[in-house]
Amino acid sequence: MRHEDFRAHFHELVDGGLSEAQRRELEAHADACSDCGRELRALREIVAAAQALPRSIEPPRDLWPGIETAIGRAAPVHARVQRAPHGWRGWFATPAVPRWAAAGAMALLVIAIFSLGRDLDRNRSAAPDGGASNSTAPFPAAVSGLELQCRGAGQLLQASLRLPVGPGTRAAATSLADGLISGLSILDRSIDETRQALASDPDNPALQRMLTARYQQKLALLHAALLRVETT
Amino acid sequence: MVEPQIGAGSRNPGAPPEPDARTIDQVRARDAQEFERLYRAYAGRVYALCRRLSGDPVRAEDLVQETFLRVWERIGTFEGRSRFSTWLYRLAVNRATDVLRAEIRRSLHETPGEPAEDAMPVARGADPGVRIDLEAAIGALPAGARFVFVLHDVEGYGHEEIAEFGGFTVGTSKSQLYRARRLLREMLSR
Repeated sequence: MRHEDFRAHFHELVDGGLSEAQRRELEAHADACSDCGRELRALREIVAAAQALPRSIEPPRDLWPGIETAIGRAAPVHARVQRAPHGWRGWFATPAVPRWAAAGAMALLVIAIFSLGRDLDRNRSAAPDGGASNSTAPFPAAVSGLELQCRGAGQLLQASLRLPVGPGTRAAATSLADGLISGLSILDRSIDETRQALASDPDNPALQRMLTARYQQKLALLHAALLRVETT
Repeated sequence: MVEPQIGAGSRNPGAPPEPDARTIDQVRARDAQEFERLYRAYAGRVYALCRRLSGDPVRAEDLVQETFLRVWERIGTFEGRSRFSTWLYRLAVNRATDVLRAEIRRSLHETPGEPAEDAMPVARGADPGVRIDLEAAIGALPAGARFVFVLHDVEGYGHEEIAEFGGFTVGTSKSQLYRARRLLREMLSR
């Protein structure tokens, strides 16, 4: 057997899936060839080490309060954000995030916020009074206020952004900004889904709490971004 | 969609005990205390999975929170045909895939080779003879190779299921696994 033939199949030798005859042939080659034998042992060591990694790693901080807030059991998010940043807010409040990275993230943040602005404009134009969308009518009263606050925070964020930043910082901050975009899109999707569910079951208290919590989260996310812009 | 019978549950020593039907029913009924108990039992397991898949401890925290929010929202769809843990880990992997999809796609189109020098997990100023640990090396892998390696070699998923998660072919899953192992060997033997 040639070394190339051996190395074309030695992952399958470790993972299984070869016939008994193939397996024996490869094992025999590994026994006879010191280089291939060493390669095979190294591969097996890596796979064994991966399988031996701990299955559980405790998060560095308690993530439950953020979840608890989101499901609507705890105090509103905006009342906690200064004390214990969680979730998407954490990306903007984490001291480990360099300021230049946060500044770079703001460049991409513009994309998210202007998208948000377009959505808000679309909602506003759909509403006959030019204010909150009609769709809030059957929903908890708090939702209308939160929706307005989100709109205001988004507009304030747009106005507060100061560009440009350099291309290097922009690249380095991609993941941070991706997080904000992802967070906003998750929240908006969840809001839409919860609205749809509430439309058919308007008296469901769990859905009402969930919708309120989503708006609170969205507002907290926008506030955290705004705070970061103002301090960067 | 067929719920997996292999995967995270197939290589799961020391896993928390599966919740009983009563616990699931209580969470379905919006019992937040019971849900917190469920979170406490599985947070470490889900965090480990998310941290390795993302290679980023901060992003992993968000993934854990988003995963448990999805559990809360979708517990009504859990039919008990698979174990709860299998269903939970699948939610976590799906969420991580959503967040990492762009990075994974980009890395699949990279020319196979070593990660960038500054991505190699070697502490500056440290003894050059000190071997880096496997966790750090996994974190330094390109996103696609890391995704497949963690799911296959750490979690025990098969290539078919990994390909379904990632939206690529079984052949791509295998080639990324082999690439990951080669890169890990190079990093660990430096």
